[in-house]
Amino acid sequence: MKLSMRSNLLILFIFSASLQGSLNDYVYPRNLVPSFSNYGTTGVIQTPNARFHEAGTLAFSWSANDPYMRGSILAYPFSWFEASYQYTDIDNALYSNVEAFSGDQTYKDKSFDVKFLLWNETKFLPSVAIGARDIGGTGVFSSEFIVGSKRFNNIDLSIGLGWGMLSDNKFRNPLEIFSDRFKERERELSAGGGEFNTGTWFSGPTGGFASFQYTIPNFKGIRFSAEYDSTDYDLEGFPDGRNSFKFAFEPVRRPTSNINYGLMFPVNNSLQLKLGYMKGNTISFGFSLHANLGKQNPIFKKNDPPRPVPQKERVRMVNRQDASLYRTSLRLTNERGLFYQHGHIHEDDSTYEVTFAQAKFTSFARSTGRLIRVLDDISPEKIKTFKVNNINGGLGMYSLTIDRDEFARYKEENLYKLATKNVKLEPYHYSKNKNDYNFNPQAEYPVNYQKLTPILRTQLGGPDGFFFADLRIAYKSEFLISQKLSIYTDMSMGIFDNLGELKLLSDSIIPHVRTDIVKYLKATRQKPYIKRIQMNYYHELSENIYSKLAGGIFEDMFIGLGGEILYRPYAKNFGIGAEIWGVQQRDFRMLFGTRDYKINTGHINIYLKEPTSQVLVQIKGGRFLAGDSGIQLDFSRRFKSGLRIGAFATKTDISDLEFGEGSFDKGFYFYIPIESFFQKYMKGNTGWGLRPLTRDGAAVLQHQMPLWGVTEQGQRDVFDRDWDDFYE
Amino acid sequence: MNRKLLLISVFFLSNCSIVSYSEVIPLAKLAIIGADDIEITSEVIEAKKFSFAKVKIGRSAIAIFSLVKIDQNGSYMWISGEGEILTTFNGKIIKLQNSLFNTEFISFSDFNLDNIKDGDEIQYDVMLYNPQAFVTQDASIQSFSTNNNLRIIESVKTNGFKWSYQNEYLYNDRMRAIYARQIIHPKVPEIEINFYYK
Repeated sequence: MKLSMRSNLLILFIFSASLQGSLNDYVYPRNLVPSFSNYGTTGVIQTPNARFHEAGTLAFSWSANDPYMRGSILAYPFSWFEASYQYTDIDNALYSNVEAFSGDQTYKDKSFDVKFLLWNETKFLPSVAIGARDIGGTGVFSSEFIVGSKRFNNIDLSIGLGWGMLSDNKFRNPLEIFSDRFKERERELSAGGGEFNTGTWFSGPTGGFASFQYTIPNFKGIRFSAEYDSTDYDLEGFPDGRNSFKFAFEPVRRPTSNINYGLMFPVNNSLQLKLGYMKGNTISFGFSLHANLGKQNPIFKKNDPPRPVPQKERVRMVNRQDASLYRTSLRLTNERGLFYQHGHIHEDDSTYEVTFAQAKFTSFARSTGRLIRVLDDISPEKIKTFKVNNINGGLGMYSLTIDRDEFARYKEENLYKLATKNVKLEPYHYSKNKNDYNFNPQAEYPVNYQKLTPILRTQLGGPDGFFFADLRIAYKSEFLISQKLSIYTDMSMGIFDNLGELKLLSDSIIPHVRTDIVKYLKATRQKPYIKRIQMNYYHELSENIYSKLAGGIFEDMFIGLGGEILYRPYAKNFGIGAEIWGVQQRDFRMLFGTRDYKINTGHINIYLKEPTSQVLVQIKGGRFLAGDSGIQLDFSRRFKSGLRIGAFATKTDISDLEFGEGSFDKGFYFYIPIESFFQKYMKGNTGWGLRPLTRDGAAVLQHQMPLWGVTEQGQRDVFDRDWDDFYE
Repeated sequence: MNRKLLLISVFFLSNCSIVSYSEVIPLAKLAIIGADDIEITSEVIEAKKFSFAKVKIGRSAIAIFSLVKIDQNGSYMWISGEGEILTTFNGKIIKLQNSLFNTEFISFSDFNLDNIKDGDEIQYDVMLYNPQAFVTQDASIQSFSTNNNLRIIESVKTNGFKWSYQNEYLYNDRMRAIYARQIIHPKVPEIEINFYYK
């Protein structure tokens, strides 16, 4: 024991330098976690810095400093890219001067901000980032910057150049040497917003800003900040009241100092509180929440281990009879949420082939590993190889063959890399011919999975009010008529809402395929409505070609019939598909009634996937719901946990005038796997989509279960990503 | 479990139409009220085959740890249903494994009831994990004997960063720890243990 203690101490001594370094993590807890500025993005008080959160982080930031109150949602699809969407309440202006339209609601500004890391901090060089604020908004906060940040233990110094609103101490724009376009900056407030004012980026006079953050030792990670603020408060927002903007009613307090001070308290790894004194006369405060939801088990450690089969030696002995093995397999796999479809012991009498479906695990490597665990526990000695096939919606997905000894050998130590080295993973073409299997358990169709659950419909940021919500109780079901044929139902009854104040009517001059949302919401207040009754039929036309026919009530606003076809070669990183739908607009009451508007909509879909980063590019070209034709580009990244962060933009052949405010459709979204919030595994996502404006142009039919998603689980890159779940 | 994260989860799930609220409500309750206590009745004690400990970590986690091993050096190893392993020495936690924030006392043998007395000063070398750091702690001992029970209050100061706290241990007439309240990691709430011996 003494020797062991001595050797421990010796090791500790040898590594004492690095351990002393890590002691700083206790002296200055969360020193390296970036803070959020009052603009919502990472920064100090008012100024930005070159710090980024980890890839896969989602954040919410809220701040108040007269006359602004700002809420931001941030996403980090990569560790070098920050994207955020802001709502700013501007307290010295009204939304409009028509009381009947917006009452006394103050002005709301929406904007997108982006920041890119140019290079990472090294021992001698700072991190450098370039970014822009308010790129898709009205321009009242638009600015661009380049900033460097260098950390010296518990001090983080930043220095940068700003353009636009960040150029108070104006000096000559160094970019003028490249082009005269950088000399002057025209300030043109966009009435509605939603347009990218690229022509003004990095133009006009330049300003310099600098900041430092000092983490106070042994003080719970509290940081003191001070900064030289280059914000031009003579330009930002509506500084001169009515002289700046027709709906503004009072000027903004001008700064008496360019030095801002602040404190930031990281309450835990997710929550930060902040307090600041800025402009020499204004107090600011706020909070932020952030979490890396992209990593495995991002919130809770899972407590859903594989359930071993009790008395397995005895079970194996009994299962020397094939019939007994089939029956035991059926019972034990079904008990574990792995639905046994067919079983077959090959003629060599040593390969046991099982076909299964499952809807419990997000990771198919995990579900496959768990199935093989059960088979290994219960199969007699003669079985040397397991072949496991997976189906989804009656479509064959993948087939995995593994040597039983190899599976068992590496199980206890979780050496999944060795276990899966010789695994054969191939596409599975599902044969419904029962003669192809020895054991075909009689599935009892129809099967109905149903639940009652509360839901919240929300409407955010309109002129008639900032937040509208409708609390409802929903009935959701998945009714399986056969393996390939299913009906999804989603209907609800309103309980409580504040939708009464909604009054904004559509000003669109093209068919109102989306902008009549207020009529839909109001017509279903405290009444039942049907969101979806969609029937799906899936069929594999031939190798790698999948099809889907669907009909019914697809979504809130359209009913119809149509189909989709997808060519997705196995183990390739692309797919090409087509979809066509004949749809009719639903009545505002959202039951079975329809309106007169009908349209045939359809698209050619191209999917490109980069397997290492799991970035998916979707290109959708065709005719949209309002009859406009164009192309949608959608970029998204999928993380280990199942989190997906993406952005899209759509441009169609309608004019800016026809599209209305914003000129083209764009937005970003994220989907979070539900199992992140629980200790048990479960499939499904909860998500948010954010677009600055709801317009009729570029609207896409929202049908459920598109083929790309349905066929995703069998792909080789999905297994390569998730092999580490194989034994878990 | 972190209560704030639980609350965030509940907030996120309020927008999630797939999860049944029967799954959300227990989470919310755990976040707001804390974990339900586990009542240790004489029937429960009777039903247990081995010695066990009721371990309460802060407000939101409570678990039963079963005794799995007594080492020659006098340390006891306890394991929970979720696989966390606690090692105690005279009731003092000297090792926490399989947890998010593990801890290991490299030196602990001075916390010996045969030698310990009121006013003693003890030094511990402790390895903290997540983040990893090696720290030295100075502890001063106060001991009180009442009704054949021994109560020890241990005031601990950490060298290198500001982390001071008091631990409390209670022993029965056979000098076996029956209760302990202690802090073992800056990021783990206070741990309360009731020991039950078979």
